[in-house]
Amino acid sequence: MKKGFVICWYYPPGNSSEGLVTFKLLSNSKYSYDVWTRENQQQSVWDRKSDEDKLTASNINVIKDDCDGMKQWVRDGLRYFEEHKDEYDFIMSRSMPVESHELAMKIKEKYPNIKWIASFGDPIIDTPYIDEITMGGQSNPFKFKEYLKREELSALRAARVLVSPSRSARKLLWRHEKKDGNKTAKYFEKVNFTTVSKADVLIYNNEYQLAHAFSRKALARFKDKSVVLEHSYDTKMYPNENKVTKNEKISFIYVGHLDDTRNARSLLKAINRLQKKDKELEKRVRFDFYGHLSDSDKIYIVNHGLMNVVKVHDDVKYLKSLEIIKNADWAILIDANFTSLVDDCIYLPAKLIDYIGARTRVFSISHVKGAGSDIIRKVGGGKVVTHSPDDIYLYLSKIIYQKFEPKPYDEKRANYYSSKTIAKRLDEIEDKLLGED
Amino acid sequence: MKVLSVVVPMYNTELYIERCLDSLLYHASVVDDIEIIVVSDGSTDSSLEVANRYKKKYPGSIVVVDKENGGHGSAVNAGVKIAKGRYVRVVDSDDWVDIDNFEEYVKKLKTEKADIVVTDVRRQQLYDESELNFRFKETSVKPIPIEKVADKIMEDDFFFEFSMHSMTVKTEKLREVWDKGLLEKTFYVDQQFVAKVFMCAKNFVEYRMNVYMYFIGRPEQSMGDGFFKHIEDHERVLRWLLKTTEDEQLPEYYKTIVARQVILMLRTHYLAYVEQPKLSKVKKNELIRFDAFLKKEYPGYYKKAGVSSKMKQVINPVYKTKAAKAIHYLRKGKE
Repeated sequence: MKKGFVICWYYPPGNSSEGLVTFKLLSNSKYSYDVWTRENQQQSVWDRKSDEDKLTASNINVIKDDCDGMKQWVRDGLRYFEEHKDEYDFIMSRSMPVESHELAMKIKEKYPNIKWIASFGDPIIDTPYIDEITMGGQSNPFKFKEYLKREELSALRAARVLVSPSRSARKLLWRHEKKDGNKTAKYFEKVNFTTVSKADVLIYNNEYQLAHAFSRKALARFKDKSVVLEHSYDTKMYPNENKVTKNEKISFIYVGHLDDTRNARSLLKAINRLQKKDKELEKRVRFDFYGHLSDSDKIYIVNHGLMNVVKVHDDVKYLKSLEIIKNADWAILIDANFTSLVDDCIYLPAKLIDYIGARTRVFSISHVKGAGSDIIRKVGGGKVVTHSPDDIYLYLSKIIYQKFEPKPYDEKRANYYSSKTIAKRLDEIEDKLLGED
Repeated sequence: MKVLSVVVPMYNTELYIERCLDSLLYHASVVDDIEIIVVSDGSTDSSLEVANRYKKKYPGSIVVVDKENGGHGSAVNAGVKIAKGRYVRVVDSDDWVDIDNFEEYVKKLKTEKADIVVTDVRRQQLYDESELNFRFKETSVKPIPIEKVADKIMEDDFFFEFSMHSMTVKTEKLREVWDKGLLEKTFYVDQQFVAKVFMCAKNFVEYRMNVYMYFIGRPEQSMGDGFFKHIEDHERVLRWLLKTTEDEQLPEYYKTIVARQVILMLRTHYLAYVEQPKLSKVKKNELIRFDAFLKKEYPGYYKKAGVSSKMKQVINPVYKTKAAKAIHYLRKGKE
């Protein structure tokens, strides 16, 4: 069996989104993989709880580097590959972080004949997330300073390694470490350009992201070797039991990380409006957030007396989160509001695909057009609303008081996102790359 | 007879039209009292399909008109032409109505006698997730003669309280002055609509309730970044309003109101040019030509165009200075 060397900083048991996406994909592939990751995955405020040893697969061998930071991880990875190069038919680098591609770059430099698949979780350059933070959301330097101060403190307090799935924290930590934002930007540019130009196959998780990645003229010529490979869900990971319906209150859940940029404020404002109008709201509906919520949103909940309707919980393990998703009436999706920067949302949240896998109704707060919104409209099973609190209010009212039902799931289209289907497409990419029939 | 006709001009808003119709149809108790006229202005996306789906579900309350593209004004014209309700209003297909008040609003209209009913507008600014409410300061349970308060209408240089989105008008009255209706293939005809409403009405009443949700955040819309793209249309509407002020048969109070509209639009017009990071020679000459036209044909307005405004809620106060400076700069050396 052909074998790939997969470079992936995030990987189970550490339950970051990128690691889970990778696991679901590789574990359903016909190929064999060695995953180069790291030991001691830290539980920072942005990490989801670990599922320990439950997430394993017979075709995947995990090599954990006991490293002290990413620089060493890259160095150790190169050394390891040199020692075992004959075992591998191709390499695959997966970002974030960018350092995964950096290691692949170094390998490719030394072994130009090795085939290289580069998979981009999020864009490395020109990302609206960073632009939004740099501009403080509203191009307001005062707001930005305040934000920087607050975030920097909490980030430094929480993170024990200079890595985090939160791009905002990454950016701030780099600033702190290097005192030179440009250096980081230049490094990103370099890694991105080399990866895009030297890798044999480029994988993006949605069409918007792909278009965004090649919007620069200098990169456009490499577009032909790119392919879209969406996130996937694995039916084996969900609990076997049927959905537990309590029929008392309508349950909305959100599982995952929220921060100041991707926040729950517009939803909370809508809930507040509902509660002002309906004193018995708590008897009808309940919103459960599992995972990190920004301090300002928590304060909003308290200040507006929403505690009986909105519950904030500690993070849960991934498999537990799938159970929660499956048993909810509605699963909430929140994308960051980048309306002031871009028209469409270029991000495809992995949790949307988990929601689809559970066939739970999706209440999506996002850009009207974008990766997630398009999928919901195509697959069914959900409602897309904008970040306008009154827009959210309208549809929450319809759900709570009028039993609004979204268009039912289109099973065929929903099945497309099963990890078996997506992994099969990965296999085809690898077959082609390796000249296999 | 239906109490209210809601004209919904629609052009390629497949991603928004459901929200508009869902809000209008939210209260079963008033669904039979309203007539929703969705006018597809040559839409090329699936918005017409969506509208027809709703029509199938609410055949007694929804009328769908499919016409060739002729612009926002032409779609409103088509709707007003066939409206059967005692009152008529316009709700753009990317906007919606406030479900908390729409039911009460329609119920109140059933016994209403005033020519115009003014309701609040809540502007939804998606880019900063903020909301602004617009409301006229005078209120009365009885109809207020427009003549008596004309000097207070838009006195704060603030025309959102009397906008296409805030006004409901008696259909038969509006038809008296409708003539060719609104300009076709032209943006910003909402100001023309307001002028026509004031032209036909003698009195108004204000309901202290928000009815209209005005959405700012759709990439293609004419407000926001797209404003300057259609600046020629803005000029067309301005010229139409200016011409209206020449009609000697129209009462003085009406002219007072339109004059305020003109001044506000003039400021926005100059400002739109100034706000461009780079102004091409063609565009600059376009503004110079307009400025010369204004000086020659309407010297009174020419002088007033540079007066600072109080559009404090809508436009940053710094802009009023910028607009005045821009006009000064433009005319420097010419006077």
